[in-house]
Amino acid sequence: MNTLARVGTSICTNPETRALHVTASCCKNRAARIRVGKGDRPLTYEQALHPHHIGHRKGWLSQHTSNLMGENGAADRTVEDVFVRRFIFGTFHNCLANEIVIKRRGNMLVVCALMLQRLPPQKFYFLIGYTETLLSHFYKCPVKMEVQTLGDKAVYKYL
Amino acid sequence: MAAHTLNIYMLSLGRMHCHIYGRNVHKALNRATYATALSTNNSSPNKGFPDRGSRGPIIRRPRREEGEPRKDRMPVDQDWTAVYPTAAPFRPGSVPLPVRMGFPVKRGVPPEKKGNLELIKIPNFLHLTPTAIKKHCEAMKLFCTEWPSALDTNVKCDEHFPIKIECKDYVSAGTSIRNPSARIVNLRVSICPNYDYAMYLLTVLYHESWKTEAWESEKTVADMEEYSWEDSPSQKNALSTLVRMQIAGEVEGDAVRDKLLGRPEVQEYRESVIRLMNEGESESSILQYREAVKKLLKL
Repeated sequence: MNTLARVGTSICTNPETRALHVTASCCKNRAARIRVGKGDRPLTYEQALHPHHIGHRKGWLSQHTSNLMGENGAADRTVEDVFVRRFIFGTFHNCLANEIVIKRRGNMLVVCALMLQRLPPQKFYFLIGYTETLLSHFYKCPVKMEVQTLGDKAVYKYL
Repeated sequence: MAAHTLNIYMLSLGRMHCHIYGRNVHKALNRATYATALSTNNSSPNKGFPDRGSRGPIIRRPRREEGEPRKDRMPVDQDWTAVYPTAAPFRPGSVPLPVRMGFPVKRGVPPEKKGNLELIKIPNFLHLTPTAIKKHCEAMKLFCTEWPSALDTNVKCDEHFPIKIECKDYVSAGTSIRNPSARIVNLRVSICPNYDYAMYLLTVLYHESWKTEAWESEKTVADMEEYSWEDSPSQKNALSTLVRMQIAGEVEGDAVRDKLLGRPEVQEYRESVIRLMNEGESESSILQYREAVKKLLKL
């Protein structure tokens, strides 16, 4: 006990010795990546490709002119995008097949979504109308939804 | 006895239900009649579905089959502008091409177009085929006028219009239709010594010229900078002379006046009078006037 305490103090007081612990797992990137598993988990193209593939093998989910040189409003558009994504994720609960694509043409917001055929068409129509009206009133600009439905998710690979 | 009363109660409940949910009639009645023999088993006939309390069993309408996608019903000579009239995202059921997009899996091919988000992400130009652009141009021609043929070189343009004003329009994406940088207007003039003062003057003049004062609407004939022949004494005299010349057999009226105005001799006379009045008297202008009068009076 005493010897240990003496060793500990000597490391702390002696300026030439340093004890540094580094764990390799902390340095790994974990953003937007689904790790390799048993091989039974289906992934879409969007989920399978990691963020460093954006621009090379993946496109952009949101398009607007604010990120060009000399243009304003980039932060506002980003915040709008985040809100719209969460809103639609919640409104069409469990029906989304993939991420939402947001396009801006002039002052019009076009939301392109791929949905699964989990609800009867009448309910889909109601929810689409509800989303469009609510978001138009909220953002004071025309909002249009372009929805395509699939039977099931398009699987790219299994991890 | 107790069971019997209970069953009647259930029957009446069933009847109540069928007012609200018309389709439940059958099932409710069945439940009531079978329950007489058996012990009162209140569980719903749909096993495995959550108990819906007093609402009744879930009716699952048979799922409607989805129709054929549009691409299977497209004739070869169809009007593509009807499929994509405006800018729209890619629809795999509407585009009859076997497009594949994406990074292929190992020893595989790029993913197909059905459910492909990459094809939706990119901007497409399916609404801008050559036929579509021709249609746009035809529609816009109604609003265009010809470029003046005299202004065919840049030098001539500069001569007549020394001051050039550039207004920029911006197309940008945001919630507002206005773009603050579109307010900047560029004025271009050829060199003069005091550049800044000249720019200031021109900007002020530009803005002032657009303003219409109230008294401008009271402009009279005497104030006109140029001589205009319409509604002038010269026009009236000329027309009355011509009318008197032609009086035999023709009906007086506005139709005659318009016809007379359209005749080439009258137009020539008009040109010569305008030239005389605006430019002053000179050898050539008087000669022109003389010729025009001779033609008009058929001398």
